[in-house]
Amino acid sequence: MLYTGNYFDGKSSVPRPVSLSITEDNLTLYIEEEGKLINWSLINCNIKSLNSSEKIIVSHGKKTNETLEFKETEFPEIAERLLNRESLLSQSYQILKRYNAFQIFAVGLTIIIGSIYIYTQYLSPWIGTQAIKLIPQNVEVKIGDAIIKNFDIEDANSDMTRYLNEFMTACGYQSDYPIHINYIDDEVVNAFALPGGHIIVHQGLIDIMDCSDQLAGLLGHELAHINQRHSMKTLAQSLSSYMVFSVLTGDVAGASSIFLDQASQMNQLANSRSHEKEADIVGHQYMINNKLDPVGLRDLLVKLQQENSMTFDSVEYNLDRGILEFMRTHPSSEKRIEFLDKQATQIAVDQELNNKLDAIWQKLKS
Amino acid sequence: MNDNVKNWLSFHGKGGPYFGIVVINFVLTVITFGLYYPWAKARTREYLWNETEFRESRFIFHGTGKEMFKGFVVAYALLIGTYTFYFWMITSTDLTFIASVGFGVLFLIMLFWFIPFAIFSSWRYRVSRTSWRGIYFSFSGRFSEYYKIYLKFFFISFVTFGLGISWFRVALQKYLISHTHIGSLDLGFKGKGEDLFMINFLGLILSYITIGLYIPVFTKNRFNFTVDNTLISDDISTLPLKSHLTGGKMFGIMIGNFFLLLFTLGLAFPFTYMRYMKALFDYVELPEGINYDNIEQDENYYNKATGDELLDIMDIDLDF
Repeated sequence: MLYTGNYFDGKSSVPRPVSLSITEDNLTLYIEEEGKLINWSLINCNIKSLNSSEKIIVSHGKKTNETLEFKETEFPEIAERLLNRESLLSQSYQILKRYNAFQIFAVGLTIIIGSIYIYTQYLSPWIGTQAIKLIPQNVEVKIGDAIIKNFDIEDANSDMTRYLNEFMTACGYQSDYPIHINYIDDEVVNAFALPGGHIIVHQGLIDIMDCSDQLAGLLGHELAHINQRHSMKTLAQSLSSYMVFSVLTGDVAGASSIFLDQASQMNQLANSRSHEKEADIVGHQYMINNKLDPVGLRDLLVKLQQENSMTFDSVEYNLDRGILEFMRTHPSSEKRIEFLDKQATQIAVDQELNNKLDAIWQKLKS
Repeated sequence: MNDNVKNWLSFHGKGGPYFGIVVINFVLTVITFGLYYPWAKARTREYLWNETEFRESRFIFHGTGKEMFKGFVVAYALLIGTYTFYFWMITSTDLTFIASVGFGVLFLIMLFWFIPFAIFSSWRYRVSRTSWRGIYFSFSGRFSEYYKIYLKFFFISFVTFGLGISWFRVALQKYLISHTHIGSLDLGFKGKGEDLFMINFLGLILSYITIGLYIPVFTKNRFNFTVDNTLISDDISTLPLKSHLTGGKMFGIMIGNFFLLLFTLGLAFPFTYMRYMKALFDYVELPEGINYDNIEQDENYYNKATGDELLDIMDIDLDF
């Protein structure tokens, strides 16, 4: 028996055994039982089984539904000829047949990990930068205003809040956003910035500081986060990652719920290292511009390290500090200090401004 | 073809090639920012369909990425709409009341329109894009009818505090299956809500008591419920399908898969998925007494498949 292929005429499921031969332009099917020859022009042949491991299914024409099914191993040269006519993309799927499971697994894993790396390192930050160009500043301010309501901040008229804002104004940093310093009276050693102008400072962090320069350094750093729109960039990045993730898993509905979580917990989005570094550089520059001693930020980082506490901007609220440190220890803290050391420049400090800040600082500490 | 060919389905998919498809799909989807997804889905389905065999012939999935792209765009428009709406809600804080009413309306639309619509059109799409030996499957259901059943049973489930959900599922399943045709053959469904209710009831209780050991049996029961109650008929007779899947076999598959996933941190999922599909399909037997070698093409299949294009666009995977 020569034939093992089956031909179906598109009108019924009756199998008709055929023998096959192929020429330059044609595929010929010979139905021995009926003594009938069928000629298919290769141009009109479509492989319908690109991913199949054993059987090749070929259809002919758009309206006839005629199909041919045969085992690849029985007519390998015909299979190859047909497959070579397919698009490069289809062939890339077809190549998989030639390798064993382990080879595919090893190569595939490398490719997946590689593309995740490229995505998170290069693509995602780029998307973040592009996406925030579309978000107007006033929307950012509104988002910040909405988020701040979730925090247990002291009233704007409370002494501490007033002193902190007075201090900020005295520093004279520039910003396009309406800046509000908010104060929370608890032990947490932390401070962070929300999009659109809100900075939150905890008493725990003020307790650690021992001079006005450090507070000026902290505020400069946080202001830099705001002016550079870091939270919005982070949000756009994680959003785009979730979009891609949801597409890959087909979980479109899930993505929206994850996103809602994400947006409502924006305070918990830790800034990336590159954002921290940028905020250090920019904040440092603010201090120099305003003739403040730029060593303040560095000193604060050193203090925090000594306290064996976490650096500010790693944010977590209700967790016990011990667990928190374990989870969120900022490994780059040393590098940040090292970096700020290199930046250190001798500048003429504005003594008058310094005295003014010291006076407010005394009120804050009392 | 000789007559002792068994009327069993068989699944030939293998983890290696499937993993490869997953990888190619993954890379192309990422570098196109997700736009390749519908094409990726088409490739995956082509593979699954092609690797399923009945009487020495494979199934074909004819759906294309281009077709599914439309549904994809609609789904994404909805998603982005939800995002925009959410942003609007949190930023216009003085409109909290209106915003929450709006959100409620959106939720109701999702529940009462989008979900049944998606299930219905997804089934319709898959069926109409499937063929075997050149014979097309077709679907003759109408959304208006389906939707009436959906609303009726939704209401029943609601007033019975969810107890009616088994009847709900059976009614929807029955509608979809019994309006599906394979050329000149028709499918039917004879399952009853009370039977599914017992399966679910026992399944929940026993899974709980046995700390999950009963889950494979539960899964098997639910699968067999669908298969054993599905009918196939030609001009002469109407006969049920038969699943030979046992709890023991299912247990073996699930335990094996569990450890495979555990030791590979989930990376073996293409392999476990193939094992699972094989477990389900390899034990399905179609009834003797139907002449599968002489099914006629239903000449109207093409009209049925594309009669209402709007309904075809929403092809979303929903586990139902």
